[in-house]
Amino acid sequence: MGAKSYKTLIIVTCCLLASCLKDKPLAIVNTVPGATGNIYIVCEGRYGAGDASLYAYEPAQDSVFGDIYMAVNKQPLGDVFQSMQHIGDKLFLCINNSGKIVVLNADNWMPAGTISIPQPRYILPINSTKAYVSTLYSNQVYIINPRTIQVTGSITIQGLSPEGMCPWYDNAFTGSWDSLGNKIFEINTNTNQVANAITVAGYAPQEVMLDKDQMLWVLAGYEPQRAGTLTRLDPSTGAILQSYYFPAAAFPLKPVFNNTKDTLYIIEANYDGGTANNGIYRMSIYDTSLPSAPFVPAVQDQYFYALGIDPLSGYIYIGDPKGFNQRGSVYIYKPDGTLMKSFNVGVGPGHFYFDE
Amino acid sequence: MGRLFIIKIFYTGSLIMAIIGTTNIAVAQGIRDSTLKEVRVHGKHKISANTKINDFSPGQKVKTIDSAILQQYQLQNMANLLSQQEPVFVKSYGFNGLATLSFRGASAAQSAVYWNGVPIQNAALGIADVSSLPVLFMNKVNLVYGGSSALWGSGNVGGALLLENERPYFDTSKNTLSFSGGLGSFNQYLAGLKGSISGKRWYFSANVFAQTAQNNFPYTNEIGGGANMPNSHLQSEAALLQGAYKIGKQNVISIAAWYQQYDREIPPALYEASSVKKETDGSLRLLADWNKATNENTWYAKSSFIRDEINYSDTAVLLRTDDVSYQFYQEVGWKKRLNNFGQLLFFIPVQISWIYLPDSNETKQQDKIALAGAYDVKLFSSRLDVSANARAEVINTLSVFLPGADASFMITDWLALRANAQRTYRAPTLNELYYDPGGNTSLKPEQGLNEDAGYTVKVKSANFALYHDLSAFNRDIHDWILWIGGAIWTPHNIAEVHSRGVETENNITYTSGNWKLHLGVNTSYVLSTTVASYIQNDGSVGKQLPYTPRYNGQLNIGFSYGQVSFNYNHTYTGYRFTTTDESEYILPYQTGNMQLMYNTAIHNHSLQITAQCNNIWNERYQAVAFRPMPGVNWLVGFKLAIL
Repeated sequence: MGAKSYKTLIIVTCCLLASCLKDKPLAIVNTVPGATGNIYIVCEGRYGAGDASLYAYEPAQDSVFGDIYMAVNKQPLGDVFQSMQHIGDKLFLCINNSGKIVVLNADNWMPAGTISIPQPRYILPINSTKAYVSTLYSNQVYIINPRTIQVTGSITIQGLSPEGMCPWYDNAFTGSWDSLGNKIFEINTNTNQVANAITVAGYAPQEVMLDKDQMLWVLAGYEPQRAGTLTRLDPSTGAILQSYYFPAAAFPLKPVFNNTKDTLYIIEANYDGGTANNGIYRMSIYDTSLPSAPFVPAVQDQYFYALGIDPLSGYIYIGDPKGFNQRGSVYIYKPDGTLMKSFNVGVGPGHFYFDE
Repeated sequence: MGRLFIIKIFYTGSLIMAIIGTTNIAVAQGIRDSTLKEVRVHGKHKISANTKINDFSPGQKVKTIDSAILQQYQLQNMANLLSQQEPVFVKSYGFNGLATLSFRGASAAQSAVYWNGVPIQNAALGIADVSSLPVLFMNKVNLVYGGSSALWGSGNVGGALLLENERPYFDTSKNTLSFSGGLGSFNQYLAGLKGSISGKRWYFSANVFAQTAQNNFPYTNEIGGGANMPNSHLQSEAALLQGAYKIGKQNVISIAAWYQQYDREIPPALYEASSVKKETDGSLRLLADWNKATNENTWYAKSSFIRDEINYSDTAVLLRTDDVSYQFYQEVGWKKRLNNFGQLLFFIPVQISWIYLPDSNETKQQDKIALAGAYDVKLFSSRLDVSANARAEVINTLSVFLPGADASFMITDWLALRANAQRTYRAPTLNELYYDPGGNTSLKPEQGLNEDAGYTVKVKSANFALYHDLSAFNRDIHDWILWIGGAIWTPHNIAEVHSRGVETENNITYTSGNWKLHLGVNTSYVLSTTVASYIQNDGSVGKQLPYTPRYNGQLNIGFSYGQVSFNYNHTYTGYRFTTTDESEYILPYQTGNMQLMYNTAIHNHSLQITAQCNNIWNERYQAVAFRPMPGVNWLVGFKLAIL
């Protein structure tokens, strides 16, 4: 092989090497917002992937920040970030599959402590020294002291997987998100005892909330064994005022009220990729049937997973997980259905927490 | 890849005498004529008992794992062997944990595993756990890079791992019996037995292997604290029995039964406070095989039954699942040698798989019936080897035609070219179609085109040998299946994926007296990116697939002296993205591993001692995110041949 051939070989080799992609990915820049005026986006992450994250949107600055926990603490948050709650000067983050509640100082997101609770789901503040924590797969509602960041007790309910909770005078309601249960439980928050059980229209009650008339709405359903139902009932008597039955193909989730609590917004998700029963639906609390057409339809191979209404602006926040295999998107709609804005967040946006 | 090699035959005087068996005059004449000229024969090295590889895949890259490497890894599983020695990605969920295989950026379900020609992926999942395949049981291990759905059927997209047991022999003087044993770090104990006995017409062999390991290796958690890995015990037992009867000359019927059970505790991921997860995997594989050959014809028939059971429990979340899948695989074939240059193969594979769904009390079945053929011709003194193949397959009600062609050409005695073009195909698995909840019965098959080409350089002198092989591949797959979801996960046809890359295999050996030095480097560069997606504003377009390292390589350097051999192995695995939009990734890792083997004899019984030290640089790494792998660990073993 002559000298010319060697040069040609070297040039060809260099060209081939140069055409290879650089392996090191672009650096991920994590940012933090100001301490106030935030709309937090609870990004669940993928179950089993440990990529839960906390993002925030500052409406005043029109800026998105995250992963806040990683930016401040240089470590991942955990697996399945289910919900968060601001109590006193601290933020309480339920990391479901990591079996912990991460407690952060609300002004700088530095860790203030950790509470170990199996599969924590939601936190209901009762007073400054008491909050309830619902849990998946157990029959326990844990009692924590938000000041001392400790578990102080637990309440046993007659069913598995207490999920959503709602205060009502000196009581709190929770369901049993289990396909065998069709009751919600009324817990006396003074005695921490279950005082009453009320039967609802469907099985596996998971979300409870109060409308403007102080009537209780219960979303039940456990896909695919139990079709979704909504029940409107009078909590003082237990009388069912109205029952709504979703089609078997509809998977309802994450209901919220508007700021006047006279209109219910709810996600219907179609995991098969179709557009039927897929999108954001809304209805008056006095409607006698479920809405048939979506307020914000999902397109083919899309479904929504988070829904919230900004108490200040009334804007509707929608989370699109994009299959939970990549960063999700958040869409902001005006109440008239006009799309205002969209931005990317972490994997699996599942809840919005308005901390403005 | 066509395995052309040169046999140098020097006819010495004694050989001549042996051949002609005649008089001293003849001997004297033979000697007087001096040594005959060197004869070069271009032929096929039988790298496999399977005719599809030996005779009808001249243009495919086939890598045969060296028998010495099989000996070195005899007490380990295929996942360890492949991750250290081959440029494929082994997605390991922890030390001795579930591990799947990925060829050339293909998914685990697109990387097939065959045992004596029978697919052994779990019929429901479509994947094989290569950590549960004992090296001890295998006599030959081949890796076929690139898909060949025409010859091998649905699922062979990225490549295939071919495992073969020892072929029956009928030699009354060749009975064998050996014991193996080993112990290693983290309370790892292993024991094996291999034996065979044969007569003029019958053959029987038994392989038994058992291991137990605590796997409680020290690791560092996310906040820098140290602990020993809890809930990580492994216990497994495996047995493989073979029997064969020689009906006539080159007419053999054989049966094999392989049963194994793996009881595993599944340790917590770094994001979990604890784990009580357990899994028991049991597999029963039965195979009956008949082969008859004459000068021009070969007939064969295979019939297999496979039952895979996975029992998973997590008492912390009140979860228990018991999944059982079944598979019948039958294949009959006929090979005809047409003349000195051509041969023809027809075969009919039938695969019936089914699962039982306890929630809906239903049985779901998938039937694959195909008619396939291949024609191979060798021209120019066998320097050019061309093969064309095709398969018409019916999968339940869906019909598909899978053509392909490949060729190799030996330009010189040291340089050979090869090329391969195949239509590739993967039918959705039973789980993807019917898993409850989430199965998607409207899934379309993944399909596309695979092309690859390469060359091999082999140079050999008296004490020096060089081997260099380069392959470039290109593959487009439409309707790639990906699980997406939240409350319920459902597989969808989401995208077109384009995979392309280059692999090299390089070896140099130098021999001097009793010394033999070797240096080998394997490299792999794979781009596997989403081209199009049905998902709105999909961030994965143009991005590398999750768990597909762009760069992967191994280095082996060592020597053998007499009965001692030493090897240092170094592996590199590049960045792996864990999301489809490259927004999350895990860091590259390198491991250094040392292997030592010593062969000796005690009272005429051969004794082989092996020692392996893995991860000698104590690298903290994860093959799968949040699943830490152990630091320095040892395994010492022996094999004593009684017979």
